[in-house]
Amino acid sequence: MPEGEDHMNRYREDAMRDFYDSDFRHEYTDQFLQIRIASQIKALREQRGWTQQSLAERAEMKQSRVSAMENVNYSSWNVRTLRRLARAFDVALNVEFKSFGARLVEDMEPFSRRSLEVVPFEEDPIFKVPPVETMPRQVMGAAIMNSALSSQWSNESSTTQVLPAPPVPVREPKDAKKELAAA
Amino acid sequence: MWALWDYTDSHARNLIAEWTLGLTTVHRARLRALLATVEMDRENERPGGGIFPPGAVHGPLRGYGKLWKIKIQGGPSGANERLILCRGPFDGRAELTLLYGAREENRKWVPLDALDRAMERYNAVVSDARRRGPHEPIS
Repeated sequence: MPEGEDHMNRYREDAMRDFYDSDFRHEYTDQFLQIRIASQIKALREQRGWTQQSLAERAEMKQSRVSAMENVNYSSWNVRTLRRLARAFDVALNVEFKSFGARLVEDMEPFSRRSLEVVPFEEDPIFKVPPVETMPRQVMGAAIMNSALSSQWSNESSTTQVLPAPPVPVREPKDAKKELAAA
Repeated sequence: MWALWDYTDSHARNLIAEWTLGLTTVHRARLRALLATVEMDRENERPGGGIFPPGAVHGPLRGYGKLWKIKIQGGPSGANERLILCRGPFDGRAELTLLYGAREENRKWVPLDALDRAMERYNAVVSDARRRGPHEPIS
């Protein structure tokens, strides 16, 4: 078993035992949430090559607040603040409730700066397809799926064989219009 | 990834594990999460990389260049528990050694000589690598 995987399993087993204590599981997951948010704000900022001041201006807040939020001991953010950061980074914000089991599995995923990085909309491979008005809805759907699969494959490690993406049946807009007219 | 080590006394008693037994559940849970992410962090494998996640480990401490600290949030009790540690001491890019558990109240260490005690332990480990053992997960 790889060293990292063995390590994750050990932590997961230990954490599962302690999760029977209500205080422990809530505090543990709260701390993990703080760690994740602080780390991701810093990772996204540095991914874009921005200073704290630059992010502060884009999110319309003080630099000192950005600095505080990039610390794992900070817990005073709220959804409105996170929304402003999401808009500044041009990424989607996802807030949801989860079972402790699901949370624990996610928290044991390898933690690294790279795993926290998210591309902004303009670099999102899902949206690197022709504009919507040039193709019918079902073709657009296939193109998005194809793009997503290609992106997923290209993100695999270098030891993984990269398969060619299946061809997308992109048709001429003229044909699509005829098809729609016939329908 | 960082390899974590706990300070042990001359009889191989793990003094870090013993210290954690006196912490509240809140502190233990938070320290456990902090150490888990620090241990999983791969930032140290990047050229020029420090310690990620940000703010988890503070240092080096003023006047004690070898020492760093982890702040553990208090929860309802409000106690400011700290864990003093060092990078290395044998490989500063791959291992962290947990040395001494203490508190900070009104910017003063409790006990007052906490950093000196941590330095004594640091020197003990440097002199004898057997004065530390693999980190025991906190529970």
